Amino acid sequence: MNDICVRLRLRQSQASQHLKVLKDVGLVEMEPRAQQRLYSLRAEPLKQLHDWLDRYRHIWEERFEELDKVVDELKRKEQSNAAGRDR
Amino acid sequence: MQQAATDKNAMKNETMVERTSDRELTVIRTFNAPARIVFDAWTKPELLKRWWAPKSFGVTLFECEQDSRVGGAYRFAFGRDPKNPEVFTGRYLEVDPPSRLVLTQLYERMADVGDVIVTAAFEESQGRTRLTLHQLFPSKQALEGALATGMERGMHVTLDQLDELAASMP
Repeated sequence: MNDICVRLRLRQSQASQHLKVLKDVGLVEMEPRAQQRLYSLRAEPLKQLHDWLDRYRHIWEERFEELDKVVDELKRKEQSNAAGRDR
Repeated sequence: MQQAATDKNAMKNETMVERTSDRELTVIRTFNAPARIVFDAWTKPELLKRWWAPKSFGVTLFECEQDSRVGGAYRFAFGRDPKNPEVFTGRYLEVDPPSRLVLTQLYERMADVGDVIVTAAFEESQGRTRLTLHQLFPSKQALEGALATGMERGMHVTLDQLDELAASMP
């Protein structure tokens, strides 16, 4: 805790608030030891979120590539109809 | 002008996904067509059927009913097994062609999560349309629950099944 305050140049109360938020969302773990509180980083949830969003993006990418085909076809139809009317 | 047209054809339209808050996901993509065409592809069942189910997941859209009027209902059933489909249902809250669509979305297998509010905004500029798809989950827990379910199941089931689950996410 002390090290974190020194490193980040934060008052203990400010650092505590930030660390509480990170602890609540599971990104850091706290272990009390005698008069100290030891914090450690848990990066796994971040990696999970990243992996999930990446998979999710792939799904939408694939859908959108199909949607491109539908949209292209409709656009061509619209253009040929317009050309037909102009004639 | 000629140069611009060439660039446009060469450029791949990127899909961007961001978790914009602890209960929101946003997807952004541009299409090389006017908004009315993209909007139609989202609201006409015969068109939506052609693109919505991601093929590489081996899933098929079995049922696709859309009454795309304000208050109208929709129902999509899809998956690998028609006897045990993934089902999405909901209602249209706003239908404002060709620029805006707001709907509720309930994933029946996780009905306790509640309704996700989906907003699709279609912004046309110079013949192209930027789609912003915004999904608001009922709570932080609902979005995280959706994430966690995908992840947790992923550890126990095959990648195939996980993909099917991921594909069924709103």
